[in-house]
Amino acid sequence: MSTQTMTRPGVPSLYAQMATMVRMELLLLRRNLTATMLSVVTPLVVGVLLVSGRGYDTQGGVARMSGVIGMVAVFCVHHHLTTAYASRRQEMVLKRLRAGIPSDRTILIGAASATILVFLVQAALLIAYGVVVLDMPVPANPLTMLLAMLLGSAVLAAFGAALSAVTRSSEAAMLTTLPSMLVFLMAPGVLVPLGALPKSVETIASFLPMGPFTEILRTSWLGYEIGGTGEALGFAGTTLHALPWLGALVVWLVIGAAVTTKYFRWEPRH
Amino acid sequence: MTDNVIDIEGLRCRYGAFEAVRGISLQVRRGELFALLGTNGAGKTTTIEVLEGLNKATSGTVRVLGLDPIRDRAALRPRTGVMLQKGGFSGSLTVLETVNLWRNLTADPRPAKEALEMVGLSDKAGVAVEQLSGGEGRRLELALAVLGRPELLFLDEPTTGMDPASRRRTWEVVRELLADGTTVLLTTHYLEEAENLADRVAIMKAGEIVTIGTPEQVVRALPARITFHLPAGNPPQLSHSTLHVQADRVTYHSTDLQSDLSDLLAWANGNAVTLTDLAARPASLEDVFMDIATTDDEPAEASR
Repeated sequence: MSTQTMTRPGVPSLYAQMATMVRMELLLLRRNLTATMLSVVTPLVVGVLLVSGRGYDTQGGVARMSGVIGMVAVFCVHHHLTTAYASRRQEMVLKRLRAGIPSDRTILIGAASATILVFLVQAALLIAYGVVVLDMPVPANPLTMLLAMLLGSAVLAAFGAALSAVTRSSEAAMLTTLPSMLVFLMAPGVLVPLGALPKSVETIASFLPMGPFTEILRTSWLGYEIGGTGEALGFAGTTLHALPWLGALVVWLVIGAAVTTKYFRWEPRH
Repeated sequence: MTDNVIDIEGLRCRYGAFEAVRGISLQVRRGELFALLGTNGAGKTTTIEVLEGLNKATSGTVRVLGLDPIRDRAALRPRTGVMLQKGGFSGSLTVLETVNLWRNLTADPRPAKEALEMVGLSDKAGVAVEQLSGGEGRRLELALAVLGRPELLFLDEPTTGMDPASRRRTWEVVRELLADGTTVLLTTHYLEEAENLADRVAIMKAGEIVTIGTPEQVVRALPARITFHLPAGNPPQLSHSTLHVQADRVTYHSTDLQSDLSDLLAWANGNAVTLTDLAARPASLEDVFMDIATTDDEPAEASR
């Protein structure tokens, strides 16, 4: 990167390149009605329906909402990005970008950033809906919640990029993401409520990527652990509670990035 | 430092068991247009993609503007322009949106208006890329390849699928770029294109360079052609020619056109024979190409 500016004036900064990649993806999302409905509108509507009108108590409501945010992340970030990478590859956009100034990393992370941004807006809307309409408490630690959502969606994006390697078209993504979406949604507290699985299975499944994600969301929102002593943890306490789970997400991110590096394809098979 | 913009020594590229490029060497000098000719699968695109930094060489050395296309990517990319063999832009964005997005990814870009005028697409600015005709799409790809006024331009089959008007327009743009000092490496199946534009050509077959030189040099190495139809009787042997007869069509490959032609005419006059559709001409690049494409290249086949 540092040599760029010396060779020729006017080379766009890394920030400008990223911003352009984000703008490109958002523009494409706006143009593609199917993708917008599938990845943005439907999960949000389903999410709202899932948390509304079922007389949850505060704990149950926050736990449910955390799961719903996880579900939206899986659809919006993982499924949509797998589709997006596959169709950019199909149209040779990835190859053409790669023949230009942006680095491989800028291209991949730039495209992912747009989708992650869309997800964060959805999550903010859902949290606001919970607090304002459903009388949920104001999140005790928004910072760890944000970190969990950023790291969690980065994990979903990394596996989406890797999976796009075996996805020939945006239509094929429906099929190829089916197993991965199942695995992501299987983590306790996403689709399956907490306590519904045998204890041992739940403990193991809680280390699937969406497990730490929802665990941090729940506890950092409520300010105390569900099923714990019930004492308020405060900002410091929730941060401390989140650290090992954030660590688990970092491990998943490293695995996802390694798989992507190994299997990602920049052009269609011949 | 030489003034070679491209320097390839002993380049080999292998995909699994298949060797797409089998040890080629060539130099492209600053300001020239160098054309790589060959049939599909000859190794042209693999070669150009190694130079673009999209493909890794299995062995050999490659220098582009004195730099390594993969290791020195950051320094090199702002100075090169690329037109892929196919596509590269999202169909649902408009022409102007595409140009504007790419201006933000290009060093010191041309204004969008100038880029579109250059390739005659000013009136298509608001049209979605997928709505463009094949030729218009290729011209947009050309405009985006030269958006940053590159020192070195790679064009991979730039006029494949174009109508004659689009092809002329593309040639004009390429000539203007050459006049501005741009170096161009082009691949094509169209010999007319190479004859029109190229300072030097290399003809590739099965991953090897079969012949290299100016179009004149390449053509001069080949015998001239004498052709006519002879419904009856046997054509004579000429001293500097080889004779090829296909039904009533007679072709001589002559290394001394003037002397063989006068011998042939003397024979025809002496025997009161009419040579229907008589034609005599030097070899064209097309002949060279056909000769190479149809000759079974024994060593290349045997090593598979």
